[in-house]
Amino acid sequence: MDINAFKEVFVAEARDYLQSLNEDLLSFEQNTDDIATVDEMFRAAHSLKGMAGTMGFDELAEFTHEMESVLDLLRTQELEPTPEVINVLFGSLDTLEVLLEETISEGEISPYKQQIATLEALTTQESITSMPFSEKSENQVAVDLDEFNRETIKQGISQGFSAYTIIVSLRDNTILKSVRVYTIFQALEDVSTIIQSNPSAQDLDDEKFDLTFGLIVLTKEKRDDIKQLVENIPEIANVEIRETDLSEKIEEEVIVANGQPDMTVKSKEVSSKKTRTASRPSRTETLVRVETERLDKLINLVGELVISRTQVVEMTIEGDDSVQKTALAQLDRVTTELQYAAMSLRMVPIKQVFDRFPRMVRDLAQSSGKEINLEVFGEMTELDRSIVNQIGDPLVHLIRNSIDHGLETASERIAKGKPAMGTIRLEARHEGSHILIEIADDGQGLNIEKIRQKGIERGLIAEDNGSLSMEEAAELLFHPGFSTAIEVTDLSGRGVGLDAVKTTVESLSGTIELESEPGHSTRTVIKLPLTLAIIKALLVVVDGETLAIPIQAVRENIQVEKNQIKTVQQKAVIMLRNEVLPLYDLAESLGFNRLDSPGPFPVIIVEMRGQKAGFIVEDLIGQQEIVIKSLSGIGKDIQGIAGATVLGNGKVALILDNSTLIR
Amino acid sequence: MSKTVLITDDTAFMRMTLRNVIEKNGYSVVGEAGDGEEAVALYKELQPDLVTMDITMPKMDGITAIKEIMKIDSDAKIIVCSAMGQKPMVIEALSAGAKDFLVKPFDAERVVESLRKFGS
Repeated sequence: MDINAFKEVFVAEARDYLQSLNEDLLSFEQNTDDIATVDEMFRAAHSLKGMAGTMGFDELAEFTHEMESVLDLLRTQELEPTPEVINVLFGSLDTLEVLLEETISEGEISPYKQQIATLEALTTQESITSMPFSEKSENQVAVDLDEFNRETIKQGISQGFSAYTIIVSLRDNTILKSVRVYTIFQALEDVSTIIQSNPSAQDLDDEKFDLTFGLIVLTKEKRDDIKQLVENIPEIANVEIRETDLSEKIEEEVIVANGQPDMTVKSKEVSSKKTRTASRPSRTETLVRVETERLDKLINLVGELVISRTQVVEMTIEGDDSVQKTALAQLDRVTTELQYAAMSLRMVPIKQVFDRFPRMVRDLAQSSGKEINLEVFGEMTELDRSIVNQIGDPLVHLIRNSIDHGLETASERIAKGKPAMGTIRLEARHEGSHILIEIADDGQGLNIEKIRQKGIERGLIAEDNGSLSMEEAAELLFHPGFSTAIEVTDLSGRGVGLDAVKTTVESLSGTIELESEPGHSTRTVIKLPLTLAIIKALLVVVDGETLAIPIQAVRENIQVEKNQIKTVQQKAVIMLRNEVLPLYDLAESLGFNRLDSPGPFPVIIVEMRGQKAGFIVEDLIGQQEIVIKSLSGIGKDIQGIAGATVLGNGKVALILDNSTLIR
Repeated sequence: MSKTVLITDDTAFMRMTLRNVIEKNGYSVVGEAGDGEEAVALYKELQPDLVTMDITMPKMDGITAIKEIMKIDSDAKIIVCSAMGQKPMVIEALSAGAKDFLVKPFDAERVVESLRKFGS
């Protein structure tokens, strides 16, 4: 029976259920005594779960199962229908809708685990109803000081300002809360600079807060004067003020009492931020799909803005006009925030791809009868959304290859003296302006002789070619139409070989390398660019040209006298804290004119793949944020150059690809 | 001597309501204006300690009137009165120099709070 024949019916019916769930929840919100409506909803969720399971839509089934559990508790009145619970349900319906449509269109599934966790939090709460309603609840208002603002505050303090955290609670009958907040901002801005607020100024303006909000200000006024100033504004219930704690913890949490009786339910599983947002009705929020082209344009413009800001800052750095400085600090802060916000639109953690592998590996382990342990690292590594969307299939293929061709069965492994359980290691990490994704297994490695035979069979190599090197064998594996699988299994080898993987990776301007230790391991490394990224770089001068070195790779910079440079095997080296490091003249490495100087030389110590090296440069300029612009045409393949950027002074600087410089 | 207040509103009913609340709390209402123009003229003439200012009025609206009065006296204490849903205009009035805002229908205690906090 082909289940897909029923898909149309499933789609229509599932959408109907979703619609009725929405309608029922709306009516239940109006009348929370109406248990019959909850019964109805429970049945709808239950039916959806069954349908999804039948179709093999596991994500949908998992999600509706959690909803069903919450509805069941509501139905049996073990869970109080607080506004929070209702809001979580509304949020879940939104997630469910997205999930449903994505499943139908067979598209990429957006993350929904967070929403599941939120639902689970409701079902795992202990003694929900036994919690007395009169008990004074706590709502958290945290003013999370970000790194940038922390710096701003430190600077302010060094100039004689004081930083205060102010927690303001409005009276519960305040009518135009946002306007009241406006008057508070207005009053404070007369005597201080508002560094940060929580919720954000935008959320305050949209009234996305209960009654309490927090501010951090920089001022020369006394604490009590500030307090009195705020207290003198009408409709204020309470003002707390204290010196801002600048200690090392990143999040500073201020817990304030909030007399809202229906907020009693507060679960540890739900983070404080989630609790806050969940307490606001959010049912109008859905995903907005935007063409990546438009995002690219925005990000490019933001990049230009970052450069302009740098220009402005450079121009005005001379004077000591504090008004101008404050305005610049503000510009700086807003631009930085804008930059991160714009970048984050395109960047997603690779987690959303990695997340599906544990399940896949478990299933494949079962069907292949092998014991497999999957280790996942760096799943929070972020990369461009479009890359994440396309890298899934190649990774699936490589993992399947590892299971199918790489790892041996438990008995084979034991016979070889290996642990019965094979390991597949999946790791993502940043390296310079690239991201590396590594898939490694401790299986049998490449059988070079078998690959050679196959290559001859397929007419890809000449018979009398002698033995293959590891590189040549790997190259063959990526050749179109090459497959070493003796029999085509369900797991891999379905006509699409490693060449398809290579094609995809290359279409993302990436590279793929495979290395193997026969009998022991296979390791595949995919290297992908972070196009359009804004990175921090160290600017140096080489042969009169400015070059940018991505800061992640830079360890330190030192001065080296000519007599400190030694020669080992005809290569220049330096000693750095008992380590011998190869030393290169950056100008020479790039084919520029050699630096002609008696020294001392500025040397940048760079580390790549655990390997350190020193590069002699002409001069150091300093750190700067730069927008990576990929080179096209003839510039694309220049070794050692990853791209170019426009500097604050309008000049173009080449960005070094440090990974290709150390060999 | 009690503080003096100028009431501005285009409806006699609202002026009456406000006068009642204000006088009950020890302030003296020295004038009533029915539109912005009148308010500006009366401000010059009476130099009141406080002004209540409606937004939507004929001839000259409250926001223009606030700007005019601020030109005459940058220390003027004006409290803008709005209806629900006039948020952008209230913000405009506040940035034009109004000290505080009241939302109709008026809550007597709120009116007094604003008078007390800004009349001193």
